[in-house]
Amino acid sequence: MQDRDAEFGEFLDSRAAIMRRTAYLLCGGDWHRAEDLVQTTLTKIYVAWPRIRRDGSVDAYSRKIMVRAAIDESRRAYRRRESVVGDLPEIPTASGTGVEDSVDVQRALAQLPAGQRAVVVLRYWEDLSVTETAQALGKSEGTIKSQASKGLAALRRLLTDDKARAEES
Amino acid sequence: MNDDSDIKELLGRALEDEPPMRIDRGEVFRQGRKRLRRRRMLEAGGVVAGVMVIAVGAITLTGPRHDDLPAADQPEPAPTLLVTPETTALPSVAPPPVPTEQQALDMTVALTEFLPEEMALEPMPGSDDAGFRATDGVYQLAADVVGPEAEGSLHIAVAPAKIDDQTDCVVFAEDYQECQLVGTETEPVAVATEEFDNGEQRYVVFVARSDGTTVNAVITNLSERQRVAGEWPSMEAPMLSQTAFAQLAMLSGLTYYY
Repeated sequence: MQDRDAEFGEFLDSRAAIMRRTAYLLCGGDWHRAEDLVQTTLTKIYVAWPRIRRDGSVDAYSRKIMVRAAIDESRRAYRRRESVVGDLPEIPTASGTGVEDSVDVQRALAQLPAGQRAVVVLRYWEDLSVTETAQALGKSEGTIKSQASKGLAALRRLLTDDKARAEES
Repeated sequence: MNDDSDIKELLGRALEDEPPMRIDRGEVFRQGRKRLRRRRMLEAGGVVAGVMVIAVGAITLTGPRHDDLPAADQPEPAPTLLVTPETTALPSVAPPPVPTEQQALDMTVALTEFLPEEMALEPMPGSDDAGFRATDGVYQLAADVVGPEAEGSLHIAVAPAKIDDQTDCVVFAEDYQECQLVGTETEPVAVATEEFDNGEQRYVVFVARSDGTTVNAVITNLSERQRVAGEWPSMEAPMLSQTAFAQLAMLSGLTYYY
C-alpha cells in the first residue's frame, strides 16, 4: 500500500494540474466542474494503479475515464439546463484583450456538443492522433475525423460571430 | 485562425485565468482507499468480476435454488455469468408449472413494450435469440440493449418464489457497493450497484413478489458485443435508471404464474 501511495502520490502531484486544464476544456470552461472531474478520475486511477502502471497505460486510462465522465456529465447538465431554461446563459462578449479572448473561446467551446468538444480537445490540445482519440472515446476513426472537422468549423464560426458582434457594438 | 495549427494556441487562451489548484489530495486518497477496500472485499468473497463474468451474488440468473434437481438436470449457466448459489432452499408448497415457449414470448413482448422506444434488444455474440427462453423452472433472457448513443447488456431471470424468498439487500451480501430498497413498503425491490475499473457499471435488482414470482435482473453499460471487442462503455451508467429498472422487475408481464 505504501508503494502504491508513494507512486500514485507522485503521479497526482505531477499530473493533476495538467489534467485539470484538459478537464476544464472538456467541461466547456468551468474550473469547479473540472476539479470535480479530476478528483473522480484520480480516485479511479488509484484503485486501478498497479494494473495500469504495469501496462504502462496510466495516461491513456486517465484520459478515457476523464473524457467519458465529462461527456456523461455534460449530457446530464444539458438535460437539467434544458428543463429549467430554454437557452444557454448569455456571457458578455467583447474582443480585444486577453481576458476577453479567453471568454470568447470558453463561450465557443461551451456551445459545442460534448462529444465534439472532447474530440477537439483530445486531438488539438492533448495532441492525440486520430487512432488514439478513437480509442479514448470508443469511436471509429471515421467518426473522429468527421467530429474533429465539424468541431473546428463550429469553433471558427462561433468565434467569428462573436468578433463580428463585438465590432458592431 | 486560418489553419489547424492555431487551434492549440486558441484553446490555451481559454486557460488564461487559471485559478489556484483546489483539488483535495487527501480526499483523493481517502476515496481511492475506500473503493479499493470494496474491491478487495469482493475478491475475498470469491466473487471476482473477470472480463467475461457478471457477478450476480447469492441469487442466480440461471435457475436459482434448484438444489433439489439432480446435477445433470440443472440449467447450464449463461456464459457471461458467475453464479454463487449459497442458500439452502426450502421446497415450494406446490410444484410450479413448467415454463412454456408461449409465455416466454409473452414476456419478451411485455419487456419490449416497457423499454423506451430507442432501446432495442439484440442477440449477444454467438446467440441468435434476444428474447426470453423457457428453461428448467425459470424464464431467462440474456441480450444486448442498443440505443442511439449507448449500449449495454440485460440479463433477467423470472422464477417461482421459494417460501423463504424475501426482498432485501442481504441477498447481495457485501459484493455490491450500494443497495437500497425502492418501490412501496408492501412491495419493495432491492436495487444494488457495482462499478468496475474498466468503467463498467451494473445495476442488479431482486424482488420476491407477492404474486409468487421472483425477478432477478442485471443491466450494465457494457454490451456483450463491446466486451468481446475489448471496447469500453460508451456511457457512464446503464441505459435504464435504477428506478426504471426496479419498475421492470415489477412488470405484470413478467409473472411466472400465468
